[in-house]
Parts: sequence; C-alpha cells; structure tokens
Amino acid sequence: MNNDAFDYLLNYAWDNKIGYELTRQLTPDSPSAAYPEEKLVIINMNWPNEKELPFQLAHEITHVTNGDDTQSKLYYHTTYKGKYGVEHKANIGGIELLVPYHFAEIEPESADVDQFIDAYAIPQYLRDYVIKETRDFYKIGE
Amino acid sequence: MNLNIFVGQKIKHLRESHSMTQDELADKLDTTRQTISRYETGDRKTNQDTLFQLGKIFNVSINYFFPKENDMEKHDQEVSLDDAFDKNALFTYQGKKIPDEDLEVIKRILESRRDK
Repeated sequence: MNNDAFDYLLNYAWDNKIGYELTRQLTPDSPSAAYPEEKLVIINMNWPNEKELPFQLAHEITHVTNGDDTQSKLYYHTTYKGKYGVEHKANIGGIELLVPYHFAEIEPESADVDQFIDAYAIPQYLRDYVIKETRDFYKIGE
Repeated sequence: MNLNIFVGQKIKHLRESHSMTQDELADKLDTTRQTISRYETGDRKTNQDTLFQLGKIFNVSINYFFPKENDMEKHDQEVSLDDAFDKNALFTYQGKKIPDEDLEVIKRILESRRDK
C-alpha cells in the first residue's frame, strides 16, 4: 500500500473534521464504509488488496464531504445506477482527491495515468475520469 | 479469489481475532503449526471435518467460511442492515453488502463514536 497517500488522506479527513476508524476487526470481505450523518468513515484494514485502501479511503471521505444522505442513496441507488449514482460520484471524488497528491511532484511529460491506476488499484472503468482529472490538474498548474 | 485462499483468510482472521497463535490452534485441531499455516495461505484445502471443528472452536456456523452468493442471504443482510443502521444511512464501498458476522462490529464502532 502507498502509506504516504494513506497518511495524506487521513490528514485531509482530520483537517475537514471527518472522523475515521481504521479497523482490523472486520472479515476480509467486508467493505469499507461511510456514515455521512456522523461524519465518519470506517476502513477495513483486513481488505485483501491493500493497494486499494487509499482509494477506498478517498471514496468514503467523498461520501461525507458530498453530504450523501438517506434520500440521495435511495433516490440514486435504486433509480439511477451507473454514472449518476452516489457510488459513482464518490469514485470521481476519490480520484479528485488522489490526483493532485500523486502528480504534485511529477512533470506533465512524465505523468503516467496507468501507473497511477495501478498504484491505487483503481477500477479500469474509471480510466477516462482519471485521464480527465489529470489533464485538468496540469492545466491548473500552468 | 480462489476458494482455498478465501477460506484460509477466514481461518486466519478468526484465529487472530481470538488472539490465538498457529501453534495453539494446531493443538486444538490435533495437527501441526505447518498445517495451520498452509490452511491460512490456501496452499492446503481444509476438509469438512476440520471446518466443522473450527466452527465449534470459534463458535461460528460452517457458512462463515464461504463467500455468500445466494440472494436469500443478501436479502437477510439488507433486513439486518436496516435494523442496525437507521435505514440506509450507512454507505458501503461500491454498495457491497456487509457480511452478517461483521454487522455487530460496525454497530459497536458507531455506538462508541456516538458515546464520545
């Protein structure tokens, strides 16, 4: 796992008054979770693929910062699956958190989107969003 | 994931959550530490007698050791989740269900936060 990225995200959570529980009490197939009402994220440190943990943390933090609530979950989750769902929005928010961190010290010509995807085990179907976010990041940086 | 590895991770998780060493578990199963180690890495397949004994030692059902696939179990989990967490207020990663055996752990975490 990229421990520096994980620490960066924990600091981000702390700065934004988001509580976190990093637990080893859950079974390996238990998902990490967010409880936006309580501004809390729960990360399952027993998850089999450790590489995924920073992205999971970023994803769960986004649920809290987006203020996802019961209504949005019921509405989006049951009516709009796919790109309009709250889970999808949390994925995009997770990418938006990780891209500026990851590419901060990398020159644009050396930026490797696939290396980024691999480093955090980001699902391949999100590749287009990673590319978009990376492009946006370097434009802002100019 | 390979089923042997999945079962092995469950055994390891149970053993560690009971603060038990591989040697101690080996004693209870009348086998060697090496065998326990191979079960946990998935190198060796556990037979039904061993799983039955493990279930008794850790007080879990034999289903605990296997992935949950069927709809009936998913349905049961949804009901439990609703009861435990104020109806859908908890978001799980990519909408994945929390296994039954972990609901209590999550509930305890939430309760302990509320007490603070």
